[in-house]
Amino acid sequence: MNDKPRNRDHLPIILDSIADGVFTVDKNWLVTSFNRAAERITGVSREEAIGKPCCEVFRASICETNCALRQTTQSGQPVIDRAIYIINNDGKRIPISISTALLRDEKGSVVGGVETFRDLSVVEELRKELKQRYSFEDIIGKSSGIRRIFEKLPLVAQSDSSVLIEGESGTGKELLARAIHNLSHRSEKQLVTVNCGALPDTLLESELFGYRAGAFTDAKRDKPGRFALAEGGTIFLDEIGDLSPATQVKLLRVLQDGYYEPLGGVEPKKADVRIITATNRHLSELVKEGKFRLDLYYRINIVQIEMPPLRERREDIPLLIDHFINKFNRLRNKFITGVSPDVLALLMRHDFPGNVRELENIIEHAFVLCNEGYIGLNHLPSEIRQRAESSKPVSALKSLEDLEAEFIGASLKRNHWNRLETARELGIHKTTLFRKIKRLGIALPKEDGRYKTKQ
Amino acid sequence: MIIAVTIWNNRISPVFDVARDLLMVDLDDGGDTSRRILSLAGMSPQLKIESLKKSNVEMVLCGAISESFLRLLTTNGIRVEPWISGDIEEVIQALLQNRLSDPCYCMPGCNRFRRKGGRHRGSKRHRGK
Repeated sequence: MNDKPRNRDHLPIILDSIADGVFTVDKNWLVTSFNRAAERITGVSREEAIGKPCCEVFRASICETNCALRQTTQSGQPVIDRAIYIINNDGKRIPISISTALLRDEKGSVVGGVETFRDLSVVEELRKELKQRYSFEDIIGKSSGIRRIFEKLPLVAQSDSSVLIEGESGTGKELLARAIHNLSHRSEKQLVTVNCGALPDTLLESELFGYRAGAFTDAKRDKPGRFALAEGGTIFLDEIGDLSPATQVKLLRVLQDGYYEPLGGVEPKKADVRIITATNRHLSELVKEGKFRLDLYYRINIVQIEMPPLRERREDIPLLIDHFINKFNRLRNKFITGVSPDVLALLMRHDFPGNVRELENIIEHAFVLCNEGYIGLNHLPSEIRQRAESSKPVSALKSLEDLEAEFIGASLKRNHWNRLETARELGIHKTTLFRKIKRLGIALPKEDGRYKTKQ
Repeated sequence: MIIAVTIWNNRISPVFDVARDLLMVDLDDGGDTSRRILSLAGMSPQLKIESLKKSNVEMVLCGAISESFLRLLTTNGIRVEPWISGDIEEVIQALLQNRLSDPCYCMPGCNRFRRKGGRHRGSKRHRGK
């Protein structure tokens, strides 16, 4: 008989002992109980909370428009683990997840509601920490290709050797050049970028090496070139494959002897500049075609780094999306939470011919149309939506097996079909890999990659 | 002077960051001369600031506000009186009578800020002008 009242006496002690915040409200939305965790998370004491409207105590992002407790009282259905934020008494946005339920009396009549909430700040912090592990300077990624670049980047940066970066347009070659410069002993001096494809040949030469007064009709005074500007620092020559044979010779001289001659000058100038080059074409093929000097190719290709296209590192797409959302939230003063699951699914299967730059543009486009909350399909460029619809008309999501086959196939291709290397990269035993290749029906080329490892 | 008060169900809205409506009150010679509602629904923070500036708002009275939004308002020269709760009419009267720092207008848990007299406030003008 006396058990019930005794249990009721224990209730505050039980509520105070749990780590989740709990509060209850009456039918007028006034707070009737407030546990210790709720005090800690909101920064509001129990004495101040009780008897006050719950929205003024809880101060959640949904109070005004989409109150979860109100929804529960109207529908009778509980809300479970909805992610929102509250503003604590320090003005900090605290990410939390909430769940709600109705409170009934002994006769079953609704007398109020209960809301439990969990502080997700630690989860958010961990997520940020994880993100730090997956970024190097401004390059973001956790895929094996990017991880390999992260591993060798500090060594490459300190070496002072010439670096050739190969990769499709939009893969982040300039970011990589900047990272190498920032990590090198030359970081105090300038990084000067020159796009060799953007300037006509005659202009490029004077742009790179400068000119002396009187070198040509309009040369009234000396003009320092980009090499002079980069003295002590780094020069980044993008689209190096577009250099004319004449400029190639001059560049070769800088690399071989460390000297260059400004246009119209008679005395060679010493250059203390590190050269990083980049191209979106296969330079070795241009050499074979006789369009690029072999000796220059060897000089600039002391260290070669290949930036993988985004379609070969799809696992980095969610990280990159997060990165760009944070970036544009800061730039545009917006509070976009993320992308909806259907947008993520669409972006995960998009081929990104424009690589990371294309993804960045898609997010930037969505920021114009979306003000807060999640980026939905309607915020994406119509071209992306149409392309995705035409490529996969019925089933949007691939099966787990399809994804596994695609992932293993990409890894095999990266490792030139060498099964042992692939198994090592995937962190599985080679027999497991053989079994998976057979079960998933992955077609292998006739060429045997056993003796051909990647460069 | 034009002041903007976040309004929801005739009370100060709980969170400025997501408030949809602002009651614009023109205070001339200490009196409340004209009123209108400014809708902020669906606007980005930047647009909200631009709307406030376009309406010549000099002071905002609101409930809870995130640090980042508060900074955005004050750096744009808008004075902010945050952490206020209560009925809109009572709050406006309290402002006119210089009683806004009374504990009854403080949001629960926010007494300490308001007693300090302006940790969160923007600069420029004094209250009750």
